[in-house]
Amino acid sequence: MDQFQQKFVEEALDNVEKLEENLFELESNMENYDPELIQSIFRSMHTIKGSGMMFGFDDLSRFTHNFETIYDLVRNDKLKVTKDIVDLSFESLDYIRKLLDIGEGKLTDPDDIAQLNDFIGRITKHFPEGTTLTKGRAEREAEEKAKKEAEAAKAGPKNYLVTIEPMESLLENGTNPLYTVDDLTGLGEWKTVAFTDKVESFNQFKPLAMRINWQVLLHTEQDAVNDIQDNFIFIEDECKVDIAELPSGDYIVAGGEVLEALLKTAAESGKYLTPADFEQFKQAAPEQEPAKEEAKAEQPVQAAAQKSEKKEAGPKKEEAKIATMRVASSKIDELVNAVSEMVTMQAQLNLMAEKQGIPALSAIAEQMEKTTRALRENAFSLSLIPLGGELVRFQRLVRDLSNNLHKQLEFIVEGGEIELDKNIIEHLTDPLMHMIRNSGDHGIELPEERIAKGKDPKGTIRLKAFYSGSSVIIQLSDDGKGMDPDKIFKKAVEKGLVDPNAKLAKKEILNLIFASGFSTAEKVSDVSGRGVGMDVVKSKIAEIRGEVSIDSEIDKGTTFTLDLPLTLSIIDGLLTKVNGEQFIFPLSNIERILSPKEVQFNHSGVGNVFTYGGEQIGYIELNSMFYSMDTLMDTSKIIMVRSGEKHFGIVVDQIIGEYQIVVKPLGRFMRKVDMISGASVMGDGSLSLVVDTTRMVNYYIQQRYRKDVKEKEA
Amino acid sequence: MEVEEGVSLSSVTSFKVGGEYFGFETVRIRHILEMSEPTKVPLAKEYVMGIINNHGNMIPVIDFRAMLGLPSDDDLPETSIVVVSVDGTAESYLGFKVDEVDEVFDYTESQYQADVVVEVNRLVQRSLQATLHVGDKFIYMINLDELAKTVEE
Repeated sequence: MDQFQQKFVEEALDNVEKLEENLFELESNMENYDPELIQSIFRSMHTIKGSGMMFGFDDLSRFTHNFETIYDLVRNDKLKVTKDIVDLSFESLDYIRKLLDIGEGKLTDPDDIAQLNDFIGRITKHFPEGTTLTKGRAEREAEEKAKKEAEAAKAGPKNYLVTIEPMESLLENGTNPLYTVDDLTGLGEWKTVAFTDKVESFNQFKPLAMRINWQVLLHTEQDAVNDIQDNFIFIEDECKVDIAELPSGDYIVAGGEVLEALLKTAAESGKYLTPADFEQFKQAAPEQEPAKEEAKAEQPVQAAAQKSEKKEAGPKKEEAKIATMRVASSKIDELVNAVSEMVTMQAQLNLMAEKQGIPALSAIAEQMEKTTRALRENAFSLSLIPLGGELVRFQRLVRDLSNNLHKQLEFIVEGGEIELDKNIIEHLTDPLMHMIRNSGDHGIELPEERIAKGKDPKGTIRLKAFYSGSSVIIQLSDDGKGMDPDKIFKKAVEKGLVDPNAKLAKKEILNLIFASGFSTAEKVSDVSGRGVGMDVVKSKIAEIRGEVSIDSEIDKGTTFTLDLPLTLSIIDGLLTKVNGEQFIFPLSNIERILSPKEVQFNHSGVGNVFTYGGEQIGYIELNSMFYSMDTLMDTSKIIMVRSGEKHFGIVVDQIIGEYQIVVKPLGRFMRKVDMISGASVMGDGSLSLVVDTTRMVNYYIQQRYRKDVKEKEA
Repeated sequence: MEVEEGVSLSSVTSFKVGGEYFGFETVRIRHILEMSEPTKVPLAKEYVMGIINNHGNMIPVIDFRAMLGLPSDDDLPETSIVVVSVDGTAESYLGFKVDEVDEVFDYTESQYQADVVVEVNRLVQRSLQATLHVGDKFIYMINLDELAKTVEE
């Protein structure tokens, strides 16, 4: 796939997404929809069709053409919107996605082609009687594809009369219609007539108003309707185009004086030429094509007959669209990187200015800092995208779930405008998808069951997003049957995940569903319950430094709460020193900080344990773990972190303070040292290492385990 | 003469460590930096000196002497860090502390000999690919992909 096709696919997918949104809106109000909605649907489809054709996605284009026809009929009140049609439309969108997925855009497998034709058949079935023109053309196009070669042989030279009526505003967009006319004449032998009668006299002349119309006579070697239409693809909204086929014969080339006279009269009178004007050549032309009964004849092919209606809505929409633009996300990453570095250098500049004590330098440093800060905020906001964009997919998922599971599900979103780092959103989609699936599959009961329980037969899945301090909270709740802690406990015991005699709090039991190998599905459905369940969700969320917790009441429902950082690249950190080296702990991981005096160390030699608040807490001393030095200093502090449900202490030599830092990854060759998640450049240019506390604690526990095994073996 | 895969006959940058000459393919080299003290990373391999910051990229620095099993030496003005990119991305930047960067040159087939080293040091030997005979110097060509594997393991 070349880069233009790539671009087309990207844009088409955007359009599909928009279509999906529109369809949801249409579905919610099938009786009394806004006519503009249908226009919008039609426009999106038309774009997919048009550009699809241009980039060689012929099958897609053919399919969309038929799909589009439905909404053309709806638009003209010839067809009523029904659930069948909306269902079919959703299905069609999936099919369009599939067609976009195939490499070069052309189906090759005969089965696939049959499937395409079946699908088109299902669509055309909805066309009411009497829409023969559209229907005829749709069918013809389908056959055209199949019999392409046969027809190409039969087709032979053709003559066309193309009438071009640009809108007055055409020139405002910088379009030069002459290029279009010029391109058209590249298709074969040609004659053109320019109709200049609407051009004002010199005094009133408006240079920006397009007043000239054209008619182009074309003689092509074969059928060229599509080629002609393609020519107008970029200006179809601003231009009315009519393509009429003329009687065959090579009079355009050899028309002589009669033709010249005809053209001249037309230009002077300002009256368009019509196919009838060329009837005279039909007799005159000696070598006639026998294949005349093909009856494509005089009927003007309506390339853009409806374009005039679109005009009013068209230009306004266009202007609004320029307010946003498409940028490769890698470019934004680069920008954010460069800005992060600039922030660091800024800090160095400040330090330098302070040291030098030159007022002028300080003033510049201060000015720079303001600008840098503004730039930084701007750059980071670029990588934030609203959650809402992704939510359409979930809407769709819930819709499909309702149909597949015969349940009545409603998906409600609150806070779709909340913005998150795009990297976070990318990592969030799969886990959310999984959780929504679970809610629909296991959470919400069947309608009968719900009625028996005195609930609304319609179940609700609610996604609520909001800011809380420096994090974003996403709550996903359903009003289904909830989770039974006893059942979960029994199941966990069965799976050997927990000791049957263990006494666990309700919350601890509920958290067992995040354990690996736990799946509550009583039978495996194709929706959920493949054993890779909530543990994957939890680890995915942990990857983006988020946390997930669960709350559930029997028969009331279940709520999952995701606590996510706003952005991945900047964190609030606590700067500490160990053996002279700087280490940063993410503030979000820290529960509290203790002085060694506040705790009782256990010196019995069973291991690193101290007692605090009646709890036995394991700990590591970083200077002994990293540098084999075993000294507790006056300045030493214990950083309390959480590892699962347990607390854990990490002893550092000294705490320096709180900083906002930009985390830089250490790259491929440091991946083995996974308890260091990155490094950060400090104001003085030095580097400090960012600690991943969870991994640090795990490493320590594993190491001790290995030591134990070794000691046993010895 | 047979030429092994992976080393194309093209430009080489040579450097000196412990009196011997070594070479990298020039296309892999991203920067040659003055020596600056890297920030130590705990629990990393003993020959990994730490990381340095170069334009916001964190680059691990390998002590080439240590990899050869040589004792460390005082840094001199010539001591440099040769930064290579193993797979072309910034993620795979790797710096090598060397005694001195020697020269950049194109080499010809006649200068190329398959590896004849019997034993240098197990860490580096795996990565030796060939020897170049240039003037009165022998330059050990390093296969970066192999060396990177050793570091990454």
